[in-house]
Amino acid sequence: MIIKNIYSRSCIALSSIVILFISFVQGGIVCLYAQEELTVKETAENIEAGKRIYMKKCQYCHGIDGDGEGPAAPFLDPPPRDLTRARYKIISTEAGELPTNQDIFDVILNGIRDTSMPGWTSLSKKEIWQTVHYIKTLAERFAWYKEIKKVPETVKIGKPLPAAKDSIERGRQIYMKKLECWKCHGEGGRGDGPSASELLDEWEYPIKPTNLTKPWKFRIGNTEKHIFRAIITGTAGTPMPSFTTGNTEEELWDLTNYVKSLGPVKRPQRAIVLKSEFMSRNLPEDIDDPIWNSIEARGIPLFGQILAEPRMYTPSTDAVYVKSIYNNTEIAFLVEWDDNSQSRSGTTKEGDTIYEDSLAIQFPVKIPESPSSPRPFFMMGDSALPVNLWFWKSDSDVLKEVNAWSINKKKDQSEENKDVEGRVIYEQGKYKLLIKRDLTTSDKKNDIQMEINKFIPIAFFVWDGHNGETENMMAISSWYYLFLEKKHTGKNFLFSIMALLFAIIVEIIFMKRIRRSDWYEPTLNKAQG
Amino acid sequence: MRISKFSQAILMVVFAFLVFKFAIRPPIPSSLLYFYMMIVIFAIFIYVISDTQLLQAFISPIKSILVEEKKKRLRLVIFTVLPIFAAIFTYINVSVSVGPPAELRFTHPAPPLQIQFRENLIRIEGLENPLRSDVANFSKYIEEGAVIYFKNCFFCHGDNLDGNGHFAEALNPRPGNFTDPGTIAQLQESYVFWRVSKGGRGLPDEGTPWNSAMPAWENILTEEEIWKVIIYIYDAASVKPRRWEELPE
Ligand code: HEC
Ligand code: HEC
Ligand code: HEC
Repeated sequence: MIIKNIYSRSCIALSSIVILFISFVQGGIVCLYAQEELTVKETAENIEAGKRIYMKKCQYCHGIDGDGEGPAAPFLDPPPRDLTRARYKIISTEAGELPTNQDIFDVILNGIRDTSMPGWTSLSKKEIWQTVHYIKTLAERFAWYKEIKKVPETVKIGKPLPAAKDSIERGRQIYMKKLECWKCHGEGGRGDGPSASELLDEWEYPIKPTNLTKPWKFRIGNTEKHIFRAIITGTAGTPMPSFTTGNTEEELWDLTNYVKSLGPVKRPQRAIVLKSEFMSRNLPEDIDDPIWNSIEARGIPLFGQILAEPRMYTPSTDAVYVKSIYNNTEIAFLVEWDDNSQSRSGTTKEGDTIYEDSLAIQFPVKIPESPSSPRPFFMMGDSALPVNLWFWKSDSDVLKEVNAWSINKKKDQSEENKDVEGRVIYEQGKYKLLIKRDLTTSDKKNDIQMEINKFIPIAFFVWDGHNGETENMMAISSWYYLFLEKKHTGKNFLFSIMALLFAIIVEIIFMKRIRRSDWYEPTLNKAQG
Repeated sequence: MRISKFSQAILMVVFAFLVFKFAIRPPIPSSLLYFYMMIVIFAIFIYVISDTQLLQAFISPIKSILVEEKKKRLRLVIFTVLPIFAAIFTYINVSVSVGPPAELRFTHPAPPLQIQFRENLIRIEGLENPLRSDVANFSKYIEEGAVIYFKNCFFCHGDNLDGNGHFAEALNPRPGNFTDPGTIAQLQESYVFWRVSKGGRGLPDEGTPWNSAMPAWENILTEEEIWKVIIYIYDAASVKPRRWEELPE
């Protein structure tokens, strides 16, 4: 059918494109709406409306009175803020000052990264302003400022210094010597300094210094200006001091550049498939072997084990980073994770129990036929389909093989049956575990037999002994895939040549047909005429 | 100089690609980009074939390359470049990194007719939320359901009920987004009761029970507590459960 009418023709084309653009508009609206001017005044009605929103959305964490004791509070680390003390972490004002209204608005809209405080994009801008006015009534300090007509001043932040090598080096000197940030944040920045384990916040909750190698966790943001602001404002309510006096602006920018240099350029992406690369040589015996530098690490996010009792709501490990290689006989993994306290079973000075640190890699005993065929339950298997775990525990510092049929039914394999080997180092708040095994073993009934070019389910478990993690209380991951990448077999070349030949054949047939068709004639005639 | 219809079409496709690729922030994922480009090409295609004259004008440059004696050299170049492209493209594609395999998953497989809940056998078919008829206490149930939700569920499903709790990022499949019309809004409360009681592991094989982190709540929450939390999630997500009568025959 040919549509004659020009309008309906254009209509069809246009409507397809319109449909398309609708999908983008949603994104656009969010941007526009954040930029609108403040119009919602601090009136009794708006405060009342804000209270209704608070009671519906916020009280379950922050508590009915705003004291941070809502029903969800016991399960959260960091705990929900006690809003009655007006201690705000993300401020654009001077250290120790109240935040501006805009600061509070921004934190409600954007949330606080890497905590349970979500960004409330589901509330309208008006609703957020109403909530801002309400939560200010929870702390007396805001009313007092109003009475004495004091308006907190926002700090001006200048231009960052270029992150040149010498600036970073000067920053390192300040970090290590002048301001001694390392005492809390650790030499490598992973929050493992000597004072780290004793820190308490204003409410006497234990608090960990931020891991500076994971800048995406900075509450305030992770650009140079944000980090600069974090240093000069400190973090209210926590032991993180403010460092304004006694330092020149240049020194603070050097320090900023150093802090920035501690983190990776880009946050490692979570990957569903962990590729194991083929090597024709012997696999490295050493964790520091340079071969590992050429392999890309994959990030695997972890979450608290809250499926079975006893549950772990606040695990301290949020990800492991894994590299893998294999050769004709063996496979090796290098697993890295941050832990700001190396622990063995025992008690602290205060008499609290400490457990050992531990990590396990999990595989199904039998690789599933296809990605959609049944496989063991991701949390340590089930009675029909068991899993094979490779365990490392800090107490004995040896590797073990374990089989499990559920989280509560595990069995160690006997010593003679052990095929895994490896070693661990702990350095500056980071564990590195090298683990190796033959691709296949003699114990086919209980051990995973690695196969090339197959999607092999893989999962990870991490226990941080200083955080009360033991037995069922730990950080766990969903199933991911391990894939032993095929060796180079010249297959690529074969396929490419086939594609080349195929394209040529198609062309020949095509031209033959064209020559025979009526297309050819008129043009030829024209050329002759 | 007038641009031929053919070049116009090509320019249009390139322009659309540039817009999708670079003008839109945050960048759209590549699979979606392919999809959008397909729509654009399809739209142009429909536009072109909808009129014979237009079609002629569109085809003429192709035709001239294919048959005209003058363009023999250009034809030769195109005909050698094309197979080489095909070969290079294949080479790159065969050696690209392995993508994740497709995991076919039915999010809403058929529920069982009845379930064992602790000592009781509960019939799912035709089951209604017993607390919903108790209008006098309804707001109390919402309140109590909220507390249950904030002690058990929000880690994954999020306090916005949008499936973005602070553990959600690490879960695969992701927790249900209750504000989305595709989850609880299209389910009966009895179905939700089954899902909450039996969790991910209670799913049949097509629901890939081995992947779902949704806990089974039957041993932790009582029957009444589950009905309360169900009332809360519908209320807080501002959606209504599907009724039994609305079931298509
Ligand atoms: C899931 C629990 C939860 C809910 C619900 C929640 N918050 Fe929070 N909120 C937190 C936590 C946890 C923190 C502290 C994070 C930290 O210390 O880094 C916090 C911190 C805050 C802060 C302090 C910000 C700062 O700069 O220090 C404000 C203000 C706040 N929340 C407001 C709200 C409002 C308003 C709502 C409701 C619309 C709300 N919160 C709902 C968990 C929650
Ligand atoms: C007394 C211990 C201590 C010292 C010394 C210390 N910090 Fe901190 N720092 C902390 C704690 C605790 C936190 C976490 C605060 C929180 O959880 O909100 C923190 C947080 C941070 C953050 C993240 C802020 C955010 O918005 O999330 C940065 C950046 C930082 N510190 C940099 C530094 C630098 C640079 C120095 C040295 C000039 C330093 N700290 C010295 C304890 C300390
Ligand atoms: C450990 C994380 C986790 C917790 C805690 C959790 N869920 Fe889930 N839930 C999930 C995941 C993941 C899914 C999606 C996968 C699936 O369908 O099993 C899901 C799915 C659901 C569904 C099905 C939605 C649909 O469209 O079929 C309902 C209903 C549900 N959850 C309710 C709850 C309730 C109520 C609670 C608290 C009592 C809760 N969940 C606690 C992770 C969780």
